Amino acid sequence: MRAEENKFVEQKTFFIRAEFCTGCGLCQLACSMVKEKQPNPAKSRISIERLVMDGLMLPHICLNCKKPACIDACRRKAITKDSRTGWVTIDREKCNNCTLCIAACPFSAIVLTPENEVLLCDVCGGSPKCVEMCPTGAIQFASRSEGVAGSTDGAAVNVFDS
Amino acid sequence: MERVAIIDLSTEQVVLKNIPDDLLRLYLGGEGLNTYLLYNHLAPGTDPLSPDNPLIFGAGLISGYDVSSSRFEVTSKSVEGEGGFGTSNCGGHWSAELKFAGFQHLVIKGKASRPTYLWIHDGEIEFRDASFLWGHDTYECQELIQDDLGDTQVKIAMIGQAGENLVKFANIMHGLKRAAGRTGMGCIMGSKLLKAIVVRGRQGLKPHDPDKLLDIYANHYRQITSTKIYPVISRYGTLTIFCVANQSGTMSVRNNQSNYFEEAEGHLDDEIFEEQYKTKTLACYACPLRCSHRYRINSGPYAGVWGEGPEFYMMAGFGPAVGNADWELILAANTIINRYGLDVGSSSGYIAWLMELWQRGIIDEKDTGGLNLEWGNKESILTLLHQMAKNEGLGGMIGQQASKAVKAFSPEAGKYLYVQRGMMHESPQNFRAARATALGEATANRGSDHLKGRCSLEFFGMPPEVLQKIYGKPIASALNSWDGKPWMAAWTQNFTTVIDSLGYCKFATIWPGSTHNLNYSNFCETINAVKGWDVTPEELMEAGERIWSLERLFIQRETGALREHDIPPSIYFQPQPLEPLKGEKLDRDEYNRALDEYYEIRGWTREGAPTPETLARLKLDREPSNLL
Repeated sequence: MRAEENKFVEQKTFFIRAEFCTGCGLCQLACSMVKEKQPNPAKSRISIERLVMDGLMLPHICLNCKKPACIDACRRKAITKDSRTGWVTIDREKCNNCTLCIAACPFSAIVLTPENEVLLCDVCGGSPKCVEMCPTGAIQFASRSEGVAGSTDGAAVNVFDS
Repeated sequence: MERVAIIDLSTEQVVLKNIPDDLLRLYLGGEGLNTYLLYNHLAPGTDPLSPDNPLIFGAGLISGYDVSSSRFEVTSKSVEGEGGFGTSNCGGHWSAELKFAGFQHLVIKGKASRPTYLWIHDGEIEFRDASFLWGHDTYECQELIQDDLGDTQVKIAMIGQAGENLVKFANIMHGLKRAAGRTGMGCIMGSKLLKAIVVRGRQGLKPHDPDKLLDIYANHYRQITSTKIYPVISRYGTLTIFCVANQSGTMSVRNNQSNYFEEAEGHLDDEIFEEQYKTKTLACYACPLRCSHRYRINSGPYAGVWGEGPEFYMMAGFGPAVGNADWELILAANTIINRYGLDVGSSSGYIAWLMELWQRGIIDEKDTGGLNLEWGNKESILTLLHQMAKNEGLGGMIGQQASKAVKAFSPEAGKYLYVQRGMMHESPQNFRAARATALGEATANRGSDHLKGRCSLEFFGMPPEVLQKIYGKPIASALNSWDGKPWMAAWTQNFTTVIDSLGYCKFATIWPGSTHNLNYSNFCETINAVKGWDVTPEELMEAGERIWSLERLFIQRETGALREHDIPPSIYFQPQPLEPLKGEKLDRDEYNRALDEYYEIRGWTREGAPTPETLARLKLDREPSNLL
């Protein structure tokens, strides 16, 4: 057996580190400019839920699930997952904006525009602009098998001490 | 096409107008177009608290389009000080949201018949009952509005109890800490019974050249995040200024009695804040600088206190200025002023003044209603803040009277009140050693204004070649030299005015002293990609000059106070007592000569009024032109 056959399949996807998100929305601005040619967070493929009182900023973007619920929900087979890259994309020609996928997605990662159009991230062909524009690493694009370094666990610290 | 909404609270009518392109190019947006609208919409001599005084909101021209373009301006006739030019700049997410909702400016006139809030969403403007919000602080107000509208993603500019109770230095607040402070914009909002302006916008902006804009945007992002100031400002925010200011001997200690606060060493600094209190880092719209912090106090007398901020000003104002070296008091005071919507500069400045009066025996317990005003008395400091917002007791009197409170005490009290144009000497720093900054702040249109006049590059002893390259004229490197400094002051005022008109954050520009940050040429790139114009740095500089001189015309028209009010407070002419910079002071003759030179640069008379030639050159001879 050759060496490369021992490797896991390399698939990249997004990793969200919400504790690093400052809520600035640079990612949304980048996304809407790349995809829609206009600054407009409402048409970005990323949504940020800003819980102002809690100071909690929650970015939502397609995580390219292993078994995407949106694909099962779509009656028109408009959403597909590429077996090689693992990326989940929507075929705008087939989609009729019924929003069943939005209801099905457990991560609130599919966006409905003010014009009731369904938008789904297409990872910009593998080099997403939003990641390039994130100053804190709150959105990262990395190998599924390697993940991103560092702890995301702040909750377990000192639970019994405090 | 950028739009302005003229909103009449008395009749609940709205008129929408498109802003002509040539007018936009003359005044840009934000502070610039706000000033134009104020000059045109305010009948001369109107009382600031009259319903006829318009309260004008303006997003920057490129707010929403570029990195760090998060800021809006609120402008009106000032209610604090001497009723001159009132304006304030604020960051956060409100400005871009207003643009996404389809408006660049709001002119709010009249007075509502009941507490009201405005609900602005995607081109619509609704007047909604705010009775259920009246009496609530800014934290509570936001949650109540979110519930009322069933939307947690709205952006809110609002007043707290300070604005409702017409405190002369009440702020308009946004989020938990963002503030349009100074000159009493919150007081004017309260006088109109307007509790909040809530915005939600989902319309896209339409840049002239989107592909170019994307490139520019990515370049500006890289530019801002590769400066030397970036790692510091994104970690500590403005708190990082504190130790530098203190150790360089420019701090106001105990109401300017001293210029270095030894007690702060080991107690007050940015690292202690980060280690002990900081819980989260947050940012304004599209800003990689993320200078805002959440904090929480876990133990001690203020356990459970939480909030956002504080900035350097808070730290210095409720630290050395009032003789306090306890971080937790500063944080507790920060939460209180943000919830009430009080201005940090004025509230801390007046408390520092009262404490000096107490120290000198000019006031006693009979005047203070039993409060002990010894330096750093924490309970009294917090009590005064509560009193100011609620209009009770000594604090309430100060809040209602501002600088006129001096009449309540013996004439001796006025000697220690450092005001200019009736405004509390703003900065808890004292720049008598720094000539350009002293001149720039003193000649600022709202009076004593470090956000317009602070010439940060003056503090770094930069080589003359570098200064020449930036300012286009020879400037002395030495802090205490006057050579070239009037030009530096005027240049900086024009520059900050352009920034506030475009909606950029000053910290993303060369203003705080980072020479590689955004400058005029970068602004031009964005404007031209957004508008399809061919603006040059020279044209932008002239726009800054135009706006500045129109503000001056407004002051001339409304107060008549020109040259005699362009002089810094008396403390600037007394020597600094401690090293470093011991003995530094301004000399009156030297200052007057510099002021002459400054007026000449501006094209103003020796009395400080724009000459007819200057008005013609700046296309101001047609004002008021009533185009909007």
